Amino acid sequence: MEHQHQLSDENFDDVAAYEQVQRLFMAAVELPVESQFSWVESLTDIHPLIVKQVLAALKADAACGANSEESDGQAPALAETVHGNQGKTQKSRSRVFPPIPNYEIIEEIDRGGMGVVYRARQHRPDRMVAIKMMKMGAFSSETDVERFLNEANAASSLDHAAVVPIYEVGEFLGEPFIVMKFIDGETFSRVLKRGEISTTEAIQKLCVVSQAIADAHEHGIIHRDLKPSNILIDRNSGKPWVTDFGLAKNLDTDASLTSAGDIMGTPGYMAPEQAFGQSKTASPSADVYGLGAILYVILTGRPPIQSVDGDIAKTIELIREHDVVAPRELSRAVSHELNTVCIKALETDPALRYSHAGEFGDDLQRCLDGEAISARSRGLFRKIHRWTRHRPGLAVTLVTVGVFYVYHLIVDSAGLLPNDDFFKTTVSIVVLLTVFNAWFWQHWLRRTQGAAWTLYAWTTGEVALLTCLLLAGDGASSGLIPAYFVLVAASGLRCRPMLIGYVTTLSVVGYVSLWAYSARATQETVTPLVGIPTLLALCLVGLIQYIALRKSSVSLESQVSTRLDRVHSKSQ
Amino acid sequence: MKYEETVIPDISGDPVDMVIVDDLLERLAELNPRHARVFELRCFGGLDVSETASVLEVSVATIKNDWRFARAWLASQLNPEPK
Repeated sequence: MEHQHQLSDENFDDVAAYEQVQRLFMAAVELPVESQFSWVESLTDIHPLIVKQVLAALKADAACGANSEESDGQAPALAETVHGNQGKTQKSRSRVFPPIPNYEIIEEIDRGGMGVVYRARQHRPDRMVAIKMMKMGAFSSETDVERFLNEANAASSLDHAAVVPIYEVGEFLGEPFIVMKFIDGETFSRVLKRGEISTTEAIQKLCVVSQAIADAHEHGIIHRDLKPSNILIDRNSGKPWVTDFGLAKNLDTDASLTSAGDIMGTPGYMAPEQAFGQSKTASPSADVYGLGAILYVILTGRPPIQSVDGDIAKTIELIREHDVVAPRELSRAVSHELNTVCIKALETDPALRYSHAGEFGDDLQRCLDGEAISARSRGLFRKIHRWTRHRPGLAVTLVTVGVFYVYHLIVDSAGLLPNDDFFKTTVSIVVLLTVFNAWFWQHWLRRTQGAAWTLYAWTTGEVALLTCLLLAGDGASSGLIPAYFVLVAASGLRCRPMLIGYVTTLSVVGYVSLWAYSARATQETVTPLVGIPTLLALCLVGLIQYIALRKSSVSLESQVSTRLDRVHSKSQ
Repeated sequence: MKYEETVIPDISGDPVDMVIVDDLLERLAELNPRHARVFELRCFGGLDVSETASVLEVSVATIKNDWRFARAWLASQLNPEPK
């Protein structure tokens, strides 16, 4: 065999490929026959040609009679060896499980974007376990895998009655896996969804969870991804178990974005500072937020922030404009104490939250026992601050209208206004309608969690009311014409470039109709020397706002496109 | 991938085309000399597993694995698409 020593460079890749085929083949034949094929087919990160060859070899192996041990004794006839017994090749293919040594996987329990959870039997010691296998795609690099394993290692040191113990951390064919105690039960989110649990009972479980989290924090371990689906409820004892400690830390959040997103899919439980991609610096207060978010679900039946299906723009907006709607606003059944505890845990500013998960748990317990809680409901200033944060448009409208109305009253009492009762009545009505318009649409904006159409309706109302007011007054020559500019400029605060265009167009239409009206109805009309520059300036202000917004990072559209760009460039 | 070019159309009847088998064995020897030796010794030499193991001075388990994979690989190259 003179070829033996002539392994040229161009053969090298073939040799490597052959070795890979052999390795996979040997791993596959360790599996039960019916699951070999599907396991190989599930190896998505292997080159398709390699997979094809492994499958072909497996088929041939099955045809030869896979019981090679029995054919060991006597050398088989060549024809039989290479042709095999093709009548037997059709094997049923069923689900396949990775053949991790010392474990026998029984069934798949759960499957998510990051990996799969199996129920398995460990051989030594003989016990039931849960195995979480992470997909390679969940990580952006080898070092991330290593960090993930280290993190799981650290979490395995936790010893608390409400933390799912980790038995083993390892890698199988390059994919990291974690072996945990098998909890016979279901997730807290499912329990809550079924609604067969009383609020008190659910809060009691959350108290236990809080103590477990507090214990973990004392050991320097942060969960980072607290949510109802990471809490398991034991079917028999009803005991809660926290799982997946610290595992979210090293996952590639951008990768999760592409798969319709763990980050975007359940942003409701993620602390705002985490949602902005600072998860690697998350502190214990992020977990306090998570606990508060779970309390919020218990009290109101929905997460503090509801994701908007597939609309990244809206979800980002929600997280950014983050202060949540108080549970009591959604359900009057929520007590003041629970409301206060929940709000304090969900403060956007981490410094205002409970500094410790234990404090949160203690306050929760006090609520249940009917004792006084440590959290103070917020002072008057903070309440006003919060109210305006929640209703920025309404607050600004109130202030602006108030200032102008006070001005109106002053000039009126000074006798500077012509004695025209019709005009004064119109002013009062328009002021009331403007406030009502703002209140009504602000309400709808909150109800719909920022639906764009409410903003368009709102601004339409404002421009229409202003035009009415001017029609009743001095028309196109009124001193209030700059109010159009104010409206156009203010529309830029909505972070929607299209809205600016819309308001500018409306304002131009309003001004032109005023002009036309005063030209027809009154003697003293506006000369084109005033009207045309005003129109041009109006358009220019709109254009400037539009360009400024498109260039700025707060534009919702540009945020979405850059995020998507990042995802695309990563996947290439 | 070079394998694609060397894949031989299905030859369904006996006897096995020895020229093709020889070509494949040469190819196998390039990829993994020991696998080719195991196959030759067992198939043409008529040795059993333990005899092959002592000739090549490796363990019986290794020979079993080598044999199983070499046989499967050769068969899959010979019959690219089993019916």
